[in-house]
Amino acid sequence: MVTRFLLKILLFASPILLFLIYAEIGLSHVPTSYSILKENYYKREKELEVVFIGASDSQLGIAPKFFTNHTSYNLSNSSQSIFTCCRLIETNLERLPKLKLVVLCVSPILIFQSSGKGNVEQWREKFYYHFWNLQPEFSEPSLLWRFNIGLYEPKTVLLYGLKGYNKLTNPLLKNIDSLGWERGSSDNSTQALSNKAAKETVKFQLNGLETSSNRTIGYISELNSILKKKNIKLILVQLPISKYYLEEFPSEIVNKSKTVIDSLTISEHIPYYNFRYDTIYHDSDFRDVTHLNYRGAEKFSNELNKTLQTILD
Amino acid sequence: MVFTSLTFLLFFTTFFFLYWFVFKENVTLQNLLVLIASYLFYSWADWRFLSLLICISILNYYLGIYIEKSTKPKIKNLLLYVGLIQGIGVLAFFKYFNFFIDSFNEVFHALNIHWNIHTLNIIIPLGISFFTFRTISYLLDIDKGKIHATKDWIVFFSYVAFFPSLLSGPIDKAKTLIPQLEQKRIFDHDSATDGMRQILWGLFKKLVIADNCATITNPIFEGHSGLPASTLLVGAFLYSIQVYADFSGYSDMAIGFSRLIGFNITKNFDFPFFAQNIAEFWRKWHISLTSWVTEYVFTPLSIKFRDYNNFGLILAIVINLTIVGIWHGAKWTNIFYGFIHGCYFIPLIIFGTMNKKKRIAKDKLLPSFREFINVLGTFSLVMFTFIIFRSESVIEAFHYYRELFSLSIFSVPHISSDKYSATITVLSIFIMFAIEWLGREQDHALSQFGFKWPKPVLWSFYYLIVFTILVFGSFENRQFIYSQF
Repeated sequence: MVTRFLLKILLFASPILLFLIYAEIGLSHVPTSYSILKENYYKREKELEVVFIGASDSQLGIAPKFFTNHTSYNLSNSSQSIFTCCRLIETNLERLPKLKLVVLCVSPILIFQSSGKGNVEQWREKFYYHFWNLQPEFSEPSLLWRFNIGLYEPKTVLLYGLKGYNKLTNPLLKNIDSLGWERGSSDNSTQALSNKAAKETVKFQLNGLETSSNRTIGYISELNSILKKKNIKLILVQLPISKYYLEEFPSEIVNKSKTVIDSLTISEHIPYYNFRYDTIYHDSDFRDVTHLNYRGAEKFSNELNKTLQTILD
Repeated sequence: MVFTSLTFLLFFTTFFFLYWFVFKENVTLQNLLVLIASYLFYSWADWRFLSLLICISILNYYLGIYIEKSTKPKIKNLLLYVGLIQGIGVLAFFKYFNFFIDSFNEVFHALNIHWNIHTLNIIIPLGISFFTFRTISYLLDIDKGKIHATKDWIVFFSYVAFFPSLLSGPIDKAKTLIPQLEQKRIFDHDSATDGMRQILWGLFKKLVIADNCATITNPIFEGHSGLPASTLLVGAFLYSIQVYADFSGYSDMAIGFSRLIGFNITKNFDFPFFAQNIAEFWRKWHISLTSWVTEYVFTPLSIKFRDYNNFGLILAIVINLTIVGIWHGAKWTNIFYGFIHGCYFIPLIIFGTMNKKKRIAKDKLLPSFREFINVLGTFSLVMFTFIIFRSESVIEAFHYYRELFSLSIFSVPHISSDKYSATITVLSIFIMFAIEWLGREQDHALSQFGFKWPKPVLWSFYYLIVFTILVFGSFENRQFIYSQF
């Protein structure tokens, strides 16, 4: 009786199971920024001396290929939180025997990033769990996240199964080089550089920000003490940003984050380099209001390189 | 571990194989497996309170035996009171302690007495309202001689922690579940197949209806100030549907999983939105709780108040439903929710229509105009109370009511969700009610639905439901509303 029942259930479920297997295999071949960054990183981990990490501003703004004296890698990714940055370094530390320096790129948005409900980027946690085995900060990890089909909405899995999973590939991924830098899609584009665009970006970013930075500052302190034990330096960097964004961003949040970062750098002895107000960057160096383009990234990377030499030598 | 997770699917599949293939011949081993699985299931949600669950089981197990054994009424009563105080005490401490402290503080403040009694940082154990009600009914039934105390500790412990209904009910009385645990289970193919259908329907209601409604109702209830009355009406309507789909969806799954392992647990919903008056609604809504409260609270109360005729009956019902409200949690909103429902009974009692039972659209496809109006009226009354049920405070609920009764009721509602999702949600609700209407005489909506169709058509229909769940289901908000109680 039970066997008959199970056979019936199996018969009913077999088209669904077959589809799920097909989808899992199909999706495992779809590259993501997480899979590309991880793959390239693991190829170089034994020789890396410097790791840059942060969100999309550093992903587009720091090009390791311009750092000629030390082997480096950019592990930044879109909307990568301070928590994720710190955990990515901590959990992979044993695999980096030559690591001398970690450059953590910060910004007021990352410092006061909201936790839980207000964080619209929470969905990324499943990708970090899947690709890097990082325990999520906010959500309860699901067993489904171990599978590629668990990373996408069921309707995406189903509908792209019919269209072909290769259509899910983000065309911008081809811009990520082997050292983790995402080259701006249009090198000298000055599109989307306006106060209106800045206003919209700021509005989106401010949505759900927290008033306290204790959580994120705690992660940085924790990372610093772990790195210290291994004799690895940690520095904080703030990247250049367009004048439009500077004009629209609330100054009280900037001042608050300055106070927080200043007290952290003093108490933890972490060097901090703020390029946010650097006047050598012009509209032609930006891809949009918050990100450098190819030219801006080259300019900034060379600038940063000079700073790093003084620290490393 | 929620029913809609992959973890539960793997957990239940493993359990099912062990249960029917490895321990099939030995009922004690099967029960032991149920017990271990139940504790694992509970620990998965929150391991900290497993010891509480075990301690409550130990105490009530021995109390049950000694209540039955003792021949002296005084000792019998004493033991019963120990059990009741423990059950109610645990509930009072974990669920109601802070509420009483806050209420005392507010009263003192109102009287200008500045005593500030501190509340405690208490975490409410999951499923506490469900498993304590099971133990209380067990002791009361032994005391009244309705059942015998079980000597088999595995049976009793499994009864208290029975995993399909542990976190959100149904609340099974001992006389329903313990005899089933004591006897050998035989796999019933038809019952198991029907259980699968019930699980499928439960998944549809939870993932397609309830969770999609939540994406619309949450923003409305969380920021209703300034919204037009028409939007608030849509919010109240969809929230009523959401609660029903969420809770009855869970109950359908719990019953379905129980049937797969050879148990018939208490039916919890009987298409309550087709009820023609409030009394009928409560005979169809959260049946296991209402029958529990009716048996252990209402019946003794109505006997006590019988000399006061209708007034006594009204009093008994209002107390009864206020207790039902409080059961949902220590909030004034819940108390008012129950109290208002109690008041809804008053006209029925006065006009003597409370116990009138008339099946809707008997042997007909559609209801009569009068029946339709009755259903609509009952739904409106229920919807009205769900506003207070959903609100954070009574004041917030009053604001909602005030804004609801304004001329902007005639404006076009603003829904934050995109038009496509909103359309899908409305369409799904319509389909749900259509299928439930056609299956209203059955145990559950899919029980006999499409049985006259050729098998390939019927299977295609089931595939269509699976497809709808996968494509239109919302997989983000996975918590069940009633798991918080």
